[in-house]
Amino acid sequence: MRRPTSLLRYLLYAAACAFALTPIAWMFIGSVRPDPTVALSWDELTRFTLAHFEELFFRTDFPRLFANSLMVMALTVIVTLAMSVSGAYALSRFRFRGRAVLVVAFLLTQMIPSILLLVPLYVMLQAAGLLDSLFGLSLGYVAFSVPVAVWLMKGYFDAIPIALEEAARVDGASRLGAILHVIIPLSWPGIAATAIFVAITSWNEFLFAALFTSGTDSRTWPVGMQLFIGEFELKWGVLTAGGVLSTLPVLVFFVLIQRRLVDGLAGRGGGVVG
Amino acid sequence: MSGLRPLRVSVAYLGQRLDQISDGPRWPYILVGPAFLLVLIVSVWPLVLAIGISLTDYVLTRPNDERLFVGLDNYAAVLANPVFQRVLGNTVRYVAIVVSGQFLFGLALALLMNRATRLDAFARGTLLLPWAVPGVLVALMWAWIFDWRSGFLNGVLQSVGVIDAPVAWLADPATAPAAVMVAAIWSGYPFFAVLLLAGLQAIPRDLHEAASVDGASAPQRFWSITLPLLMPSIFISTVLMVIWTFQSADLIYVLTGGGPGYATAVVGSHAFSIMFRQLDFGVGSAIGLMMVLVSLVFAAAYVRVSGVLRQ
Amino acid sequence: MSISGTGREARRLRFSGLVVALALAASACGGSATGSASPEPVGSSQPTADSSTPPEAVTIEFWHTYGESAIPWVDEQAALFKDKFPWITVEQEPVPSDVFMTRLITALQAGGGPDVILTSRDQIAPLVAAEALLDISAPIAEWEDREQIPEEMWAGGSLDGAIYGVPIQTYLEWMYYRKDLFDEAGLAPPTDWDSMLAGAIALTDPAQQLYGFGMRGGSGGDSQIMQWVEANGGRILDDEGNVVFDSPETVGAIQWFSDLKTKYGVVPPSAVTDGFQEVFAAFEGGNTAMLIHHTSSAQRVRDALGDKVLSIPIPAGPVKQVGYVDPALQSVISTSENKEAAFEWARWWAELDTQSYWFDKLGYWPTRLDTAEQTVANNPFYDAARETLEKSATRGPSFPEYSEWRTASVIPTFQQVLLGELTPAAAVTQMAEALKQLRD
Repeated sequence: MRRPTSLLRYLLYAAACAFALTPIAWMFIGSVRPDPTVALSWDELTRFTLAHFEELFFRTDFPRLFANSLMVMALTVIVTLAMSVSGAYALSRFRFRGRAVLVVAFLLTQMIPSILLLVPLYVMLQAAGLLDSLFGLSLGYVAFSVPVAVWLMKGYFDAIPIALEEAARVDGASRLGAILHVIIPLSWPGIAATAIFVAITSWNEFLFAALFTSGTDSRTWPVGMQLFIGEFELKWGVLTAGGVLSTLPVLVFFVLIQRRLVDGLAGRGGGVVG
Repeated sequence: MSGLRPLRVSVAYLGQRLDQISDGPRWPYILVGPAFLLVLIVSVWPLVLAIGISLTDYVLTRPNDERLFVGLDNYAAVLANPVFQRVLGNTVRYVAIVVSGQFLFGLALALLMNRATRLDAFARGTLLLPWAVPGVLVALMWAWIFDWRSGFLNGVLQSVGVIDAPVAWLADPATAPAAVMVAAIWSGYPFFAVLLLAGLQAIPRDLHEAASVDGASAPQRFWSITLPLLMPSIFISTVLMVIWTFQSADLIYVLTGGGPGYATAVVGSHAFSIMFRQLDFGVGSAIGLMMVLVSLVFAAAYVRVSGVLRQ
Repeated sequence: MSISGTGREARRLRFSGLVVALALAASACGGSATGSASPEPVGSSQPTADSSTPPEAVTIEFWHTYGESAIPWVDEQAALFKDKFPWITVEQEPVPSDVFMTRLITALQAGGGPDVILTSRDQIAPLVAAEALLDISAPIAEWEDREQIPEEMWAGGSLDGAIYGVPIQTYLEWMYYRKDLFDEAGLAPPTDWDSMLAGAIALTDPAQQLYGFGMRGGSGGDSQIMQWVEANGGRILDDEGNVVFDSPETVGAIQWFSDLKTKYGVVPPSAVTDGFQEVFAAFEGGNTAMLIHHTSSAQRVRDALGDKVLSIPIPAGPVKQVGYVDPALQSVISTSENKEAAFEWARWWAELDTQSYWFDKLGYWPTRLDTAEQTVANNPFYDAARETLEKSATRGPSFPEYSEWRTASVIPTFQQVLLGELTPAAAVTQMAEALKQLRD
């Protein structure tokens, strides 16, 4: 029973990876080719160059913009997690007045298309003096990530039996203690998944960043990359190089977190296939 | 050490107070307050504003004194427009197929990756990469793959012999919709894979063990144990993805511009164009609010059908 | 070879007449705009003229869509500008072109926004209608170098006689063609529709993936369509602003152009949705023999194809020969808090040295006659441009609804013709109807 399913697993992975990686391979190859615009030929593969990366680091605003994006991502993830863990817990464990309204309201924020948000948000950020600032941008991201994060984590909290919490409280823990010592450890996969989601969304977000920031002090990397597509030329080399580097923080973040994603601690995680 | 004593006392006191509050009746409101406040600010006012503007003839290129109240005229005009009708139909079909594709592929991968071996860890990192790629490059990647002249797909299919002349995938109304859907599925399946994988973790292993001891096969266990317990994760991920995909426009815009003809035109780019090119804020707001309404109806129906909020 | 003497003299005479007329008009109506926002016109006093105390230091914000490469160049220009105007600091903000209008409109609606922007022909009309741009007719009228820029260029940035932008670069539409392929086939460069079609047919070889004409059916392709329409005698609007697009002449033009694909097959299969990147990749990669674009791409095309490529005016239609000539402009935002400073920066781009600088960097045809003499005058590659200026230069469509009309109606509807879903007559009716609705 073991060998055939292992083979099947390998084959499935191979097929899935081929689908997932082909476009990305194009991006990687393009970033090290001397001239990414000419048709790809076999002997080209021997002539790779790091010139695009060099140009990216030393002759563009990449270092600053990349750092900006990192700061925004970090701030957004931390604040969103803090607010949404507490919010999701409340929605999951309590039956209080206005609960249904809240649940709907959180989902409603996602339903509003950006065209309706751009001018009001601009006005608000401008009035608060938060335009052209990384903090202002993060605040905007938090405002739209929290509702989603609450919905996501509520689902994971719902799956944890109340009995476990009650056992802890019988043992003398307060609610806060129960949250910290029972709920959160058990919902690491959910928290990890939510954190990844918030990180990726805020890292790659383009529209708000393009409209609400100005200058290298607050411009983020997605906007910087879009600027490589100029009026008269598309700088393929630095653009693909920039794309390659852009996937790195998310990849790193994911590698760090993914252990939490597949958590075998509490004897959970039903393995269904094979 | 005596200098630290006040600090330790205050921290201990704070901790005690928090513990007390957490046992009190106001705790849920404190927990949920900040989030609710944020939501109020960024959704209520824009909606109210949009409703107001959508009821007027607010066109930036017409003089201020012509921005009069017109009631539901904007909505009527939009709904009566055959282009909009076509675009709406396109969008519904697009959302249905793309989200289904993303979900199925994501679910399959979540089940596959649900192990703690090194291979699976590596696979998890690799397979979730599409999610990490910035939007501008996703579009360019797929434009290259589908390119008529020097595209990857044509190259592969020709060398393998499936086709003998390059196909213009994005220029043919028969293939362009499928092409943009494939790109969208590629870009979005990791969302489902991650969320469903996390959801799988919540299913106690002993349930599966007990079931197989009782003689249930893998597929049986999937349908009767995994799927029902995964429903909350499935629900939230699909409803969110449907809402987002319904609004999305960027990928299609770069790949086909909505063409050929109106074959790949979607509501998102139509709305943007009306508002920021035609500068008709009245009609643009009306379209935006109709999008909210469609999403709301969908979510409400989904909630009812799945019974997810009945906990 | 420089611009012929008589032509220049004639232009000069017209200039002076026009300058006087404009100065009178400007003083008469004082540049006031209708509607709620009444932007103050830039005063006629020169900042450097008579003040004993230096003007107070201001910072102005400049938005452009040139992209990342141009950032250091704009910085250089800002530094040179500051040498001459020490109290003005220019902050540039490069904006991705896809979101430029979105960002500008959002900022203006929210009461913010930049001081100076780079604009093009299809943005001028809606922005002026939205009262977003400042009328700069008055200070322009007093500018001594005004005549260096031809009247057509000023007209490209004007509406109803008022000037809303300083013309700084010329987008002149012309056609690139593969001289080597034409020579090989023994064909003369095409001068009219018939010879263009003949050339395209002769040079099309699907087996070699070679096609006669690089039709741009996707985004940006409306320009070609409209030039053919006008070349056949069609018009979009009449002098009163009524939509007269639906006419036999227009249908004839759409018929001829769409036939290139549907009847003769002389365009690549991907032509239906090909945009800027695709048509250039195809032409530079040797898959098409003719391509219509404007002078700004001259450098990249020559870099890619060298002597194999040459340019010609866009072939003449049955009624006339049309080549759109429109400027890129520097415009001042009407709600700017530093209008004088903003105007100085806008006008800076029309100085001799600045124009030469940008020709070096970008290869864009300058608007100043003296710069043109220095840069493109002796370059035979630009013969076609000079010919166009003399014979067929026409101003492109410029009314507020054009931008949305071409995106939402013209391009998709023409694509439907290419796909065989619509006849040219039905398509033209559909497009005309759509425009009437937009202008309603």
